[in-house]
Amino acid sequence: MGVVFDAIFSVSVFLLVSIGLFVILGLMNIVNLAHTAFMAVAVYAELYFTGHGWNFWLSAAAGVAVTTLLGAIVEFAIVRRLYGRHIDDTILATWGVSLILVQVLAIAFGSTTTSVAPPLSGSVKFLGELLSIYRIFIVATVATVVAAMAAVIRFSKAGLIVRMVMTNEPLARGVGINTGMVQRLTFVAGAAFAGLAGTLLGPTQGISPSFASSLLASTFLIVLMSGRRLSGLLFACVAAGLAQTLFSAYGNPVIANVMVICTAVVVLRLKPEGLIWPRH
Amino acid sequence: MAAALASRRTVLACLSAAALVGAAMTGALIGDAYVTMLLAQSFTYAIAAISLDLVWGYAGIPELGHSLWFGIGALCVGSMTTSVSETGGVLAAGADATTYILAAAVGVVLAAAMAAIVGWYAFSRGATHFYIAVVGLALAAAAQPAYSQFPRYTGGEGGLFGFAYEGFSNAEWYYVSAAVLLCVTAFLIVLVRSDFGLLLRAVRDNERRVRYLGFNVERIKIAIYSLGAALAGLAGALYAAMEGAVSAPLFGTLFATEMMVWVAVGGRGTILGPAIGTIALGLGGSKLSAAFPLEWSLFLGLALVLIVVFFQAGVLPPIARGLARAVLGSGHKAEQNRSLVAGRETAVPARDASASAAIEISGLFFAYGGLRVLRGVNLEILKGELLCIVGPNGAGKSTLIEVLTDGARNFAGQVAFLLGDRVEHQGRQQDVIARSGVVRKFQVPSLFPSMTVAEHILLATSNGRWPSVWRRTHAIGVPPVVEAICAASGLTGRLEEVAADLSHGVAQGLEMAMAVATRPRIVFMDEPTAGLSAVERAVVGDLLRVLAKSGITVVLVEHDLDFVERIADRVAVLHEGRVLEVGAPSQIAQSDVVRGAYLGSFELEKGDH
Repeated sequence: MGVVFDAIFSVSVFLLVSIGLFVILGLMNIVNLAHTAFMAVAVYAELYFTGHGWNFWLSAAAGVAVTTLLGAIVEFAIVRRLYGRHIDDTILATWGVSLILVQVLAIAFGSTTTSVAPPLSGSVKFLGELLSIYRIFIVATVATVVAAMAAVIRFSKAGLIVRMVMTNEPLARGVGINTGMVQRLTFVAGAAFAGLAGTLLGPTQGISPSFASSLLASTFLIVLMSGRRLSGLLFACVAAGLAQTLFSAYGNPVIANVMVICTAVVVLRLKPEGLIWPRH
Repeated sequence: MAAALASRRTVLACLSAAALVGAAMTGALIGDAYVTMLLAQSFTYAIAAISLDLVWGYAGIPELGHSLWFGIGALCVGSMTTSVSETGGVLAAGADATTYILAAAVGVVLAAAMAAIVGWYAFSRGATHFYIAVVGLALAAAAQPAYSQFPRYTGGEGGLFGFAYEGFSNAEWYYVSAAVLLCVTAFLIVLVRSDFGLLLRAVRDNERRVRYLGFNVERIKIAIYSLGAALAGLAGALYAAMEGAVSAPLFGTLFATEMMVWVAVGGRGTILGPAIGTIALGLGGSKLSAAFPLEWSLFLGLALVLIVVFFQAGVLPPIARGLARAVLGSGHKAEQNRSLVAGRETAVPARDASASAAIEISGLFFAYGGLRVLRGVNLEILKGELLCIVGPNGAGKSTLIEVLTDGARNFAGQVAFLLGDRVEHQGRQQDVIARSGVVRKFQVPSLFPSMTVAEHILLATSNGRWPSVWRRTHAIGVPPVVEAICAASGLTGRLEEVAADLSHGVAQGLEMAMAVATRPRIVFMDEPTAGLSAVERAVVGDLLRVLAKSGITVVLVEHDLDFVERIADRVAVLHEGRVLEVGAPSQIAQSDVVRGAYLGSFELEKGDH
């Protein structure tokens, strides 16, 4: 039974981390390799503010705000100049941003591993398993975020614009949508999602400048497997979460991470368009 | 302009080579043991950098995991010259020279073989350009943590150490690595300047077009990917034998990124630039990274961002160009580089009177998704004839050509090519079809923007056979009719101009020249006269007649009906995905069926021209 709960948490973590990458890839066709570095910035901001006596929730909000601002700055200084360039250029540039951010954090805060206390301590007993309340909170938050996002994309006018830009960017521009602005906002929103992921996951693991970097390759592959659909993202995260949990249970976490990556590489070769339901 | 650049490039190459040799020689004279070893180490990095440049800069493959091959070479040497306990502790290290050489050879072969497998897997048709980047990144990201899982061979977390080859002094190591670097550099310079190097640039510029010239693009990419891996493995083996240490970070993404920075700083697509850049960064970098370990990594990131965003050509090439201009003066005149010479005629038997079929098409159906374009095409194309396919927009003319030159398309019906033996069309790839002598000229010119006119024609003449990896052809032997096409379309004096600078009409001429230069037996020409003036059109018409007379089967898609009447042997009318009527031009012009179905659109078409 414990494995099932581990799997649910693992899927939630993958969703939380990949959703920001997902919107950026879907709307801008840019792979943001600085995503986990943004998460690290968020968690260090959280650490900084809790260190100054703020409570956890305020610090987390501040962490998200800092990351959002950082996203806007990176977009203005770098990403804006890469629209329409070759995909390897955007990969390299955002990877460079990631190196810079991680090193700045190392210089400012040192490379030692620290931690932040979870705001919700304790656990509940459910079906004979002890479940951490904070983990349940993360799963609930992720579920809410994904559901809200699906609703926005499906029903709101903003969602309609998003779908237009995703399917046919030049045509959307042709009918008068300021696609440049949509893409700018998208990058900033992606950074905000990274901030959310970083601040939420902060209490669940050790914090160092390379925070979450082990998740970069697998979430990147998950987003590619999503086929740029939210349902596909859900599907890919479930697959990766299950693989991760099973290989961790019967092997070790390192092997599990390697296996997730290998699985994704194989899946992407067999289904280059991603894990999507065929539409007929 | 391009010609001037070409010769300036030669001078640049000489200058840089001199600088490289000079650096190699003077470094040892400094005599400082630390600097000597540092240089020797950066030479091994430089080998890795130029091998990455071959893959990334020349063939355009975004290789984000090149460290893997370097690591494999290093690990082979480490693993074969140490004995390790079950838990990864190094028990004994060191071996005789033969073992080191053998280990290096194993490393090179293993790296090449693994890269070939990865390449075979990743460079499938239909896999995006993006996929190999993902695979490289994923492999490096997976290899680094996986390293610690096999302590029996890798030494686990601590890695392997203490196995440096004892037989060389510092100075000897220096000379050995310098010699290997110079050999690899020379080898790669010859390779990229050869006709094969041209093919690599063509793949980078426009993969699809290379396929239609008869080349198996996947095989080229796998070969280059594998060669790059082999050289990186060699660099890793040399590094390991010299340093006597190997650990997980050598496999990781950070090291792979560092290699990309070396290449990007030195200038992608210049072999010498990355070599010099790596040595410079290695020298400066080690001093700086020793003094400021954290800031150095920060600097790497900044360099990567700045170069990608602002200095795409790299840092060294603009400096070198400035130097060359200072030495030569700006008005330097270049020599003519390549020229066309009359080669043998196309080896096609003269048109036989029996007029047997070259292509038999029956019941051909094809759809783009839900859009049914071809709905049962029945047509026989005869050997040596000039057949024009006419019909209004959307009739399926271009699609018919698309399907006939790509058997891997998902079509239904019978198509057979009768060139010698009867060959079923179904499932045959574009390059196989092109090699069998069936080529096409694209409706919208599809060229290699960075390559000159002469280079286009040179590639076309190979018709899918791999060109020489060391020879650089200057006199390109072409069928006489290619020279005529070049003269007619104004290409003759512009052989050294790059395709990006050509006007639409001239680019059309080049498309046609390429198609014919492959010495085809069947040519599909999609609107060869589009964008040409009336005079030029008349010239092209004459050339097409010459082609047909020489025994080549010419299938033409055309809108201009006057033009069609003047040159065609037969005309096929395509309407809503079916062949409405086939016959002599005069017969078609008189046909009531055609008139009935087409009157409106025919008149409009005439009015257009």
